[in-house]
Amino acid sequence: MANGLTRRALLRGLGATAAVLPALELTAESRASAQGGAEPKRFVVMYGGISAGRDGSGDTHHLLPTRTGAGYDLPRSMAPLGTGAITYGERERGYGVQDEVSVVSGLKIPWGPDGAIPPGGKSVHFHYNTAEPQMSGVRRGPNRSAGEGGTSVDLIIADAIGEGTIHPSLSYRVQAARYITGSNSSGGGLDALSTRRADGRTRGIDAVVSPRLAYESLFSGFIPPDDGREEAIARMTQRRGILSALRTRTSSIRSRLGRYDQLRLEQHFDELRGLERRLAMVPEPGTGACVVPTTPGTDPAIADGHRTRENGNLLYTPGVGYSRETLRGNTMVDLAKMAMTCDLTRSVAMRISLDQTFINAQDPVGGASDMHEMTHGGATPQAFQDTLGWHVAFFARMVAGLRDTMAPDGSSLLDHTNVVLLFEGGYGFDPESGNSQKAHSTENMVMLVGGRLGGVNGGLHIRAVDMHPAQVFSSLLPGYGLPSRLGEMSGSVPGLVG
Amino acid sequence: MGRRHAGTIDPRNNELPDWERPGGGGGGGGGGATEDLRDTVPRMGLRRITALQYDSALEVVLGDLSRPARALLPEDPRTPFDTDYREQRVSPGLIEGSELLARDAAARLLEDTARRDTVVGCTPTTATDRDCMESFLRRGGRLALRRALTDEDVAFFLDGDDAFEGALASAERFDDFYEGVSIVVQLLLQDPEFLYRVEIGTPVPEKPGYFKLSANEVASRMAFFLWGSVPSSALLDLAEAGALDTAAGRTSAAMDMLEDPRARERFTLFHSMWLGYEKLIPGDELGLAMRAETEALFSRVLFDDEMAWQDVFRLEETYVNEILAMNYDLPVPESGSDWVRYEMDARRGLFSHGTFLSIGGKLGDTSPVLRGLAVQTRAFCRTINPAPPEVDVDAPPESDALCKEQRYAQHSEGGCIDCHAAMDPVGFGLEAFDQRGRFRTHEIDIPTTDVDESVCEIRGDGELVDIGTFSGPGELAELGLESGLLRDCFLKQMHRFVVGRGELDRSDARTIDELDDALGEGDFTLRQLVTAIVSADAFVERQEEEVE
Repeated sequence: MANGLTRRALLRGLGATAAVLPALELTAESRASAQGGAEPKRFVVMYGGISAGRDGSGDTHHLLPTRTGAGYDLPRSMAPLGTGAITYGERERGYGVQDEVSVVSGLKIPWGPDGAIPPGGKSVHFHYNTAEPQMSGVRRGPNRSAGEGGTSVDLIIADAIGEGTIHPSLSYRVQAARYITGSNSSGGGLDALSTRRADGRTRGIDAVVSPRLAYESLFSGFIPPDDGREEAIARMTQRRGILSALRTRTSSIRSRLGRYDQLRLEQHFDELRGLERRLAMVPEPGTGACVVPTTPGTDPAIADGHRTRENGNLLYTPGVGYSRETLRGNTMVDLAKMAMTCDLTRSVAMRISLDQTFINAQDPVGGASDMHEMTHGGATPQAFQDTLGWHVAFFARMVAGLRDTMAPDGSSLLDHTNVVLLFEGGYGFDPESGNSQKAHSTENMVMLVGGRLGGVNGGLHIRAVDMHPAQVFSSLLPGYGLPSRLGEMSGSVPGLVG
Repeated sequence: MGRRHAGTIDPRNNELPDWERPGGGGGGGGGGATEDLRDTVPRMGLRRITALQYDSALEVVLGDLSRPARALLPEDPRTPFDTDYREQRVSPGLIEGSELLARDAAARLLEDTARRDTVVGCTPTTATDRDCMESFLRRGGRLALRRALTDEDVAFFLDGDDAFEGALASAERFDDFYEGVSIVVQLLLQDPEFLYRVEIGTPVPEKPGYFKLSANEVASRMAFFLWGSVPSSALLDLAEAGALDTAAGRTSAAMDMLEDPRARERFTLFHSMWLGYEKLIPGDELGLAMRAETEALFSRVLFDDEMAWQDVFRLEETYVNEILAMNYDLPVPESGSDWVRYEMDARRGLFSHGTFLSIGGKLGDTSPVLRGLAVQTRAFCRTINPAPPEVDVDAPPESDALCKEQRYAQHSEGGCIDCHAAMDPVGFGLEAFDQRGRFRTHEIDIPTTDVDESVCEIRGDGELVDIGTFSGPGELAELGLESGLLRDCFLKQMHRFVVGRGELDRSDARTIDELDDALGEGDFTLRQLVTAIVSADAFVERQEEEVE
């Protein structure tokens, strides 16, 4: 009887719930209808914490087609965009989305000494300071001081288009753990891809790392239309009741606290209310392509950090430094895609890997190195290209998934979406060392842009020499009804839109 | 201590400004009648329990050993400890993760009927057996929230309000007593008084901003400090009987708490986070042996033999198994694992362990710079300026010299010397021990070069600038102890560990100063340290944290 639910019991309790829930149930169609019938706009940004090139004059940029314009060639690192064979991920061949994806290369984040960092720029050193300038268009110093940072593009867009959705934005992280500790890897907001500027401070948004939690957050609130409907409604009532009770409890404690602690609990209270609100907006599945996906089950175990060899180098043992991120990432891509299909959210930020990623490349791509070390000469160039390709594959999976999903009006979801992939670094001059041909460079950065929203052109390789990565985003913002400006950067990449 | 190393190390030997230093200017040193209250009571804000603490609390409250929090809660930043409330954020991930953890924990409890019956502690006679539900709630709630539930609390949990139907109504609706138990468990595990350490105290009217903790809050603070967990029922009993109201009572309770195995884990964890080897230890059999070695050191010195804390750094024996003994070239114990005596003077204590020596590897070998940096900043709390922008810290020293000492000689020229004089000589003093703690006389041959570096002899001579010269980890530790650097740094980090805040200010300096005074000159044991901490007024008081 512990988990069962009798008809008698349900009848006893449904009097209260039935009066509440139906009015709160929303479907993708009903929300679209509420917005004048137009198919919702969507936005996805994905990020890899790795550079596009490897140190050394004999090595080159590894994420760069040789031909520009339409019909660009696919380097090995971009194989997942094509239809040829790939040896990593879950597929034997690419996703065939090249025509949907434009490559924007030659981008550059400017730099400057502390106190004289240019607009949209970074400090001279490398690692942990390139995501924010790209994502927010606002300069980033060595330490995020009160005067630095901005709201990231995914949240700006979410604020513009997310009204009425259950999750105004999603923030996911594929890499499950850092796998190594060090002075620059202790968290503290450095891992956040989504940032919000408010009250003179910039705060990172903790990403969901567990695929199971992502699933539960998105789909555990669905009320099935027939079998199990009554029990699901009863369970949902329970959850919402508990959250309501927690808000009551939080409020009662808050009144006893000082201002600092009150602010802390106010945030807690707001997040409880946010979850309660999300649960109240129970959607009904089964409308068109919107279905409740299969549960991903238990998360893959989080692996230990790297071991060391006898000489002190890291030892790349299978299963260590790798928590099945390929499976985690594919699951998160599929969940996010379905969340957009069901219009649970319209803005997704997905950090594939942490900056200076120490994911063990041996399991995902067969390289005897961690991914960061590859940029400094570890493993072979081919393995490094496959590591970049491993990142690109998640992007390609998202683009293909959206392309192949039909909206209620018969159009492809990709018609209403922009999907962007960016990376931590490019290849070229490193102001920290004064050397050229370095992975620790924000020259020659590359972004991949998929989707057709706003008239974005697919299938092109566009050279945007020395333009800022944030200008790729500012090119897209008008498609969301926003001015062509992101943080301190404005303007459009010629040829990308229109 | 003679000359200062201008421009390299903070001349005060640690990162506190002069006015924050024990005995320094500004705040006065003796606690006179006119002293500013703000100089004496540390600030403290709400602390969210860490993932480790969540798992431990789950074990105490529900007997749940699954340790699920790491996978579902946001990662705790380390500064260097995982308890810094100023670094903690509230996010949808935290709320949803907490909710899922609570739902899972409730489900696991109901599935395991034996554990369920033990935890619930009574057999319900009906689905809505109020007495049984209330007794379970009062007992579990007291452990989870670290205080006795009020009648008002009980009424709310059991009967709800307009928006929450309460545990009994849920049990009635499902015709199942344990549905109500599930509701109670989910509520308790998401309650703000469970997720946060609400140790806020009672305002003292004549002292604005000053708060005195309640007896239960003191019990909570002691439990999280010494066990990394919620207080036991016995500790709460003591608190509610008034036994923790006095310094003597707290000391007595703390001494008993040190008998709990969790105290050993707690102080072992403290040292690993402080010194930075928490996650650097190799994870193979040798790494496991290293962990066991270091855990055995803390157990023996701090607990079993009740030696001085300083002996952690100067014990002349170490605990090894066959693998580790062979690694260190020590005699293999006949019993498989045992204490063996070091056979060289250079080895003594924690700094000789593979755990500690695993710090500071680069380019396939030990890095004197990184090791020196770790020792100075981690072990001695000294500040070393970051490398200037034009320096590529990833690149090896640009030199054609064959041997490492000569290659690093360029660091003693020009502007480099300012910082490297504080790091390199420390690292070179440890060079005779590789990253696995093995003694060596010659460098390793770097496979990526076309020369044989293994012909280079390692002298192993080091210097702690302004302090003295040394050779090997044992002598380095002795210098650190004799100079007071290790002690000062340890006390400061212990204070951070207790208050859950990395940033220190004037009031923290005073508290550290008082701790230093309480311990007196010379060595001290863990029991003396814990006594000094829990018996201090600062342990049962707080200032409100300030809004930025």
